[in-house]
Amino acid sequence: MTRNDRRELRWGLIFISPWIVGFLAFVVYPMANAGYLSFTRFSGFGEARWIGWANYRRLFQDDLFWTSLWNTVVYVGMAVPLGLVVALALALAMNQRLREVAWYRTAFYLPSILPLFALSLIFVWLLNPRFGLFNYLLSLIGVSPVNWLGDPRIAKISLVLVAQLGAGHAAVIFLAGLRAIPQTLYDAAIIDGANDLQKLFHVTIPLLTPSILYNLISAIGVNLQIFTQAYIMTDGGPVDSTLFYALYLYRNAFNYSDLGYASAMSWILFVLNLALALFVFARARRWVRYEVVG
Amino acid sequence: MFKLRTALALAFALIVGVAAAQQSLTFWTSLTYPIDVEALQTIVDEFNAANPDLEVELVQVPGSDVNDVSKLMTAVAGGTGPDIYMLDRFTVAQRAAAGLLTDLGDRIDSGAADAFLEFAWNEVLFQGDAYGVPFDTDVRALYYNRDMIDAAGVDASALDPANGVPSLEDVERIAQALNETDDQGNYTQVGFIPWVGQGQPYTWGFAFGGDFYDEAACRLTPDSEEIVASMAWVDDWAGMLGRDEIVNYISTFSSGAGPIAWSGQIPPAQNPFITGRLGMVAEGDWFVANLERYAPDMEFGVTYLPSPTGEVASWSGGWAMVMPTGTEDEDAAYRFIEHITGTQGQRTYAEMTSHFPTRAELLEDDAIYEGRRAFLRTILDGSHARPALPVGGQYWGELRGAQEETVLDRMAPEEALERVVSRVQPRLDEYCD
Repeated sequence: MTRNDRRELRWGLIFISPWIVGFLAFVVYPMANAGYLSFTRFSGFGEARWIGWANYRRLFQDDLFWTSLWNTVVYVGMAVPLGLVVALALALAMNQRLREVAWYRTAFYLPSILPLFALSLIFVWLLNPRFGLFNYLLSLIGVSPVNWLGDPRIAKISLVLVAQLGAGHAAVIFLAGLRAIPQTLYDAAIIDGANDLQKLFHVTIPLLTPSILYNLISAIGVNLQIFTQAYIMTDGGPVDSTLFYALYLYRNAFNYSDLGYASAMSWILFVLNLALALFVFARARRWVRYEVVG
Repeated sequence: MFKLRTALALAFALIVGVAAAQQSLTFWTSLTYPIDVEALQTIVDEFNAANPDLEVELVQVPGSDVNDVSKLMTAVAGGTGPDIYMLDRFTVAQRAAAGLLTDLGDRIDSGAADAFLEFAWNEVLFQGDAYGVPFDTDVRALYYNRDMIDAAGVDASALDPANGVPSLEDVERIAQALNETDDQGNYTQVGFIPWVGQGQPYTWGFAFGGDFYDEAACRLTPDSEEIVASMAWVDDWAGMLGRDEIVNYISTFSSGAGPIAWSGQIPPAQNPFITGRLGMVAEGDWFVANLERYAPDMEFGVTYLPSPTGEVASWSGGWAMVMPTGTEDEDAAYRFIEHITGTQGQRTYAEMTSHFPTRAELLEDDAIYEGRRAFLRTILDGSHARPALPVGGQYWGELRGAQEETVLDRMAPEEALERVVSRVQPRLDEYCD
């Protein structure tokens, strides 16, 4: 390392130091502390009492732990692929060469920055089986009323559909990726006689794979932690069908004053999330194209 | 120049003096019914007027329920908790066990216990020490819409309290006559839904003569014969109405709450009894005041909860005033607790809300109770209380879950109630000797 390198490193560290401090104080420290608490009996007040692996052992015998984990896995399995498709569709729409495209972009992105709890409260009404807009629209094409949130077989699917309103974040990432694809490739494809669908599958999507990978890994992390919609719209019901992992964790911490148990749950979720992300990342070499095209 | 300085100094001294003389206290409630909140505000105003050195501020913190006190927990842990909190009384032991509450034992006179109803006093105790002071109490009863019954032309003499406790068969016969559907088969009006309003598992378990806790054995007993029978009755009723149909009907007024819709989850404007879409409902005493305000033209009646035993049975809950851990000036906070749980505070609350006081002397004051409330007071005598356990909130939540499983026909009543034991008993075992 030359003197110049060292100086650059020093200034670099100084410039990102606010982030480093924040990361240590608000991510690393809480995680380490939760790791310690997961081996204790702790109500949130008074002393934490060391109980070794007892919380983890209890978790594996807790049927609600397994229920919440299963619900979450099913939710992730539906929400992640659907979310990517919806976000890609939005990005393609936002990328059209239209005079008023700025309006569309704003309209598509707006739901993603609205507070999730406000959206959830509104959707409780839109999904009302008797008076809701959705069932009214369905009734126009002769579909009988659906009990979106009250039927344990449907509630999870309803939450997956509502979550698509948040697709704007991923769509913006896709949009940036779309912008980076050189026009020359499309021109070449047109000369080769490709139609729109062929351009999408042979030019656009292969070159978007780095964005897809990023959005996929983020989506897994975000969806594993689904909480707000279930907390506000269904409170985990009916019959625990939307009792997601984060909601059960919250109940243990704040309803049952069992922060040690909740901390153990949070570490299991972290390890699970990390394992999934690493798995996706390891497989990515086979389908992600990083080569620079020009 | 001199004058200006003097004036400034005087003004400064005045501001500091007033600020020092008046200490502010924060009082949190999770209640949201306007009638209840207005009554609390009245009591706070009375206290502030009589105590110029203190200024109590009433703050509503909605979104908390029997189980969820996360706002209180996080605020107390962060050192910004309220000085006084209004807590669902049967969970005092649970929150005291978690270290969230201040032990008030030293402050309360040794004779204070005798001034309160016995069950209410027992609910504020954890390991023999008082962690709160009882405030109000309540009872559950059966409300019926007289207009609806007259329109259907059904004989409802069984619902006259003078004829004693209505039988299950009477209620079923009347309810069936009130059901109405539209041409697509959707319910537009229903006679009775046992699990709506205050029809919790505790309500029907007690009505069937059940016992939820064996104190000697330190064992939860929701799987006892009477409680299983009460749940089976609810199950049969759901089957009789048609599960999908009735769940759809309930979802129209309690979006998101699922098939179980309790009064705390339904705002008055959507309450199916208040809006005339439900003929009978199990509700609490406070419902009298709600009906008088939100349905002033409705002709309604109140009678005992139906029961197979023929005996009067109900259960009573209510609230307690507690001091969260870390309250800065405990003496000042306790002065307010003494006021609001005292004779004057409880009288104001009872008169304005149609709840009952927990001070025995006030219960004997006939001037407070007239008409239906005098009748409701007679139910209070034989009323039960939920077991006040360190796992009380979770027990409540799991009983609710069992009722939901039963109503949706996903579990047999007995199986669902056994699951309650398997989930909650291990947590209780930590406190058993």
